[in-house]
Amino acid sequence: MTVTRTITRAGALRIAFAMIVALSLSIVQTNVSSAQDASVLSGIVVGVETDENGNLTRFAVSDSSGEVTTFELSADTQYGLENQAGDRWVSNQGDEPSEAARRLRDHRERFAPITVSFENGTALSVVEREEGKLEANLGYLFAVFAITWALFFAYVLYVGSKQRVLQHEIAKLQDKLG
Amino acid sequence: MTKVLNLLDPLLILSAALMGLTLYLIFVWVPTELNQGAVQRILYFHVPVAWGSMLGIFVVSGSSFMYLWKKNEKWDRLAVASAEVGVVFGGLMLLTGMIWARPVWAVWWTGEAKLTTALILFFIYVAYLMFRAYFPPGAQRMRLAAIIGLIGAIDTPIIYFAANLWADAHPPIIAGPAADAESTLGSDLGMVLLASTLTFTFIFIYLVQTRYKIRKSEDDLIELKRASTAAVMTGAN
Amino acid sequence: MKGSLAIIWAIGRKDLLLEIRNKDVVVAVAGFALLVVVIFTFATDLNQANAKLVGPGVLWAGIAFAGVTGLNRAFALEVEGNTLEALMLAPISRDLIYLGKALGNFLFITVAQIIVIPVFAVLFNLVVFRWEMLAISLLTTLGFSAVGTLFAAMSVRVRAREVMLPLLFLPVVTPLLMAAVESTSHMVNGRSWSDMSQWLQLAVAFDVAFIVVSAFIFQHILED
Repeated sequence: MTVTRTITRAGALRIAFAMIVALSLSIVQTNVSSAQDASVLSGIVVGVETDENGNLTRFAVSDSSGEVTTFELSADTQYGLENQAGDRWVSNQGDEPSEAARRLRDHRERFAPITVSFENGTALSVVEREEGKLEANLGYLFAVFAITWALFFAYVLYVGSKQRVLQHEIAKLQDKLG
Repeated sequence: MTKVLNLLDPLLILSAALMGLTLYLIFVWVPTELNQGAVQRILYFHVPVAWGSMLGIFVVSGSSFMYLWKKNEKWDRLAVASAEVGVVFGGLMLLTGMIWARPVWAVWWTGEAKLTTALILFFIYVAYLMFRAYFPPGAQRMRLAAIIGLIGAIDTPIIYFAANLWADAHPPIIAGPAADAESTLGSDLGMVLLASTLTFTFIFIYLVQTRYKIRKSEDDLIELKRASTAAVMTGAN
Repeated sequence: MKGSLAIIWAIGRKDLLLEIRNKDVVVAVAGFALLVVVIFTFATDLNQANAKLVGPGVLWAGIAFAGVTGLNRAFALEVEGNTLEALMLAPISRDLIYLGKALGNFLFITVAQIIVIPVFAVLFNLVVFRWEMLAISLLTTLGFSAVGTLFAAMSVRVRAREVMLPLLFLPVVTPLLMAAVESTSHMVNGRSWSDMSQWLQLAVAFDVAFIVVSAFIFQHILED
């Protein structure tokens, strides 16, 4: 019998664990804004303020009741905004403050709604508004993700256990014959 | 013995790499669909696994036919491997579909034609696997299993036709907020779906291949056992 | 051709004679189906308004479930009496054996229906003695026995035969069951033939497909 690297149950579990961690991280990373303990406000951009270099300094959002809230920015403020064609631009305040201003003005002109997550008046993320309850929807998405991988790994473990039984049987037979 | 679960299998490495890329596309690159929100991303899983389960049925019926024709055991192995993987994919398809339908259609399940067809086919192929599990191994099991595999394939268009007629008579309950909304994603959606489908196809092939090899080992083992019994017998004489 | 029909009839008649002697299958099928129908009259809180709605489904679900028990017996008797080997040794082709056995099953389920349907009509207070019912019933029973005979022959040697047959049989006959329920539903609601024609066509297509395929494939079941 040739020496080959085969998966034992412990090996499969390690791989499973590593992949789950990696995949969970990818989810967490994409949903940083909603995962943080921040408030969220959705509405239409009504004011955009820039400095002499055209960099965004503050902006104001009017929510559905017409109440206007002004947000400060930090270098870590993240953007996920789309133009009219639907192309998404993802960046942050530290890297592209002037493009942020341009994008928000574009949203103001189009009356395109955005969702801002903020803490103490400072915006953490500014993104294209997503319909419905984002948190509830994420639950569904997560369920799908978890079930998909759980089932795949259950199947791989099942196949792996079949494999171990086989190897055991073959070893026994070889002992008997050899 | 043939090697079975090899971590350096190029197909596994390819699948893993593609899966990394696909996950990036699904969760980071592609924008959120505005009408459905985050749940729309479920489709990037649902559609590929649905495709995988269809592929499974296709391979089962094809190899069942080939087995009945050629009587070569490798077709039987291919049939059982793809039936098993197909049922795993099919179960995933049903579950992910339900979880998607709940927020979008406002129901977990409805009498829509494709849903009904998928469910019945799932039952047929579960029965196929159960039959194999209950039947003593040998050429007869291969033959009978191949017949079930073939009958499932023959039944598929009839089921689909009936389910369509049925859905016309009993309009599906689809009442969610975004039931009829057009997608706001356009070509991005197709791109990610394509990548994801490709990835899951490779996973499908990898799993079938692995299962096939184990099946082969099982058959080899039975042969070995028979040989060793024979050896002991002749030794005793 | 005439010889083939004679062989089919001979096998069917053999089963029929056995059945007339001990009445195993028909009593089991009719009894089971009747019980399903009766239980559903309690379970659905039956009244004049919903009888037309649930009645067809109850009738055909009952017959389908009961049919499985009857089909289980079809080959069990042959195996118990070791007569299957004798049948296989006979110089006749396998498809004729299949058609003969299917004919027997068809007759049993039909007789069971002759008992069940009138009781159903009384309990659910529906008018079912019409030509439409005859057509629906014959087409459905034909499909049931075509598929059922095939699967019954296959599950004869399975460890858990009683479990295996319904698991194989019921999903495969689902389209036929849909056709039966839907056209019966049209019938009790007083619609015409043209309303149910699509369903009847479906049933015909199902029957033809499975009789042809099963007869063709049966040789692989009764090999060695």
